[in-house]
Amino acid sequence: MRLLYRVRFRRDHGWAPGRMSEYLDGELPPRAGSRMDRHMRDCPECDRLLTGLRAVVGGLARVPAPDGGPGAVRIAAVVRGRLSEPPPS
Amino acid sequence: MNGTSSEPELIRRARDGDQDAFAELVMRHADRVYAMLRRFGLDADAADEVAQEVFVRAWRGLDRFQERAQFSTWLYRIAFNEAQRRLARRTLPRAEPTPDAETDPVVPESPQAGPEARALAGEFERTLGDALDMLPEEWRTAVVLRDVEGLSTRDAAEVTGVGEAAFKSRLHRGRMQLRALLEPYLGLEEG
Repeated sequence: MRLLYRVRFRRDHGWAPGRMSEYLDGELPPRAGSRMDRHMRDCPECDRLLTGLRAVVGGLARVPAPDGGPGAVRIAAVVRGRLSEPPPS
Repeated sequence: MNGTSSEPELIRRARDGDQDAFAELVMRHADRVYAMLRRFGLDADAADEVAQEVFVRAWRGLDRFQERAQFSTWLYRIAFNEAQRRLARRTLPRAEPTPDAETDPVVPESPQAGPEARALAGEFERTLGDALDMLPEEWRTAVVLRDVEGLSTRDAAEVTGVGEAAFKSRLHRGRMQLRALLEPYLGLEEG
């Protein structure tokens, strides 16, 4: 039984990292999701990897906008002035 | 200009030639388009020029916009294509994707761990924003569209013109490289 566990663990350990993004995005099929859940319980290394990836994805949603920029009002004004331009031939 | 018109109404009026309606659409989307162009790797001047070009092209191509899709996604598609054109003109060498994102990351200088670092609001997110610039272009684009701009996987893949499987691969590689780059900071973020 222990041998089977070790074989399964090694297989899951090789499989899990490449599927972590899909897992975080809720895009893994249910059985694969359960497989990931089980491996996270068994593997501190992969659990740490997933936790870090989750922090990165969460942080990306809060990345501040780039500084500067002309602002929407100015872009709209410039574009408004160009709308009558003929398209390039 | 009516600031309370719905987007479908503005699009319909713009299609009929109403330039004021289109200018209102520009107002609503310009900041996000500009920010996205900057994150794609354009400097401020280039992003300004390309943002204008994006909206001029959108005006000329309004008849091709299919209203079953989101107007913003359609704009992002134009923005992506225009950014690619501008970036292709650059003479600087671009970073190429590495086979294994975890073996040789360039790690940014880590802040001194401690209560002061923890108290700096947004430190992790600001550093993450800087790390985005270190990604190869294809991975950066995927991460910007999916995780920063919040597009669905399907819409983001459509913007870049690749299949979903290829897009997911780029997204995952980009995220994993960011994780490696941010390794010194993850202890602070997780608390």
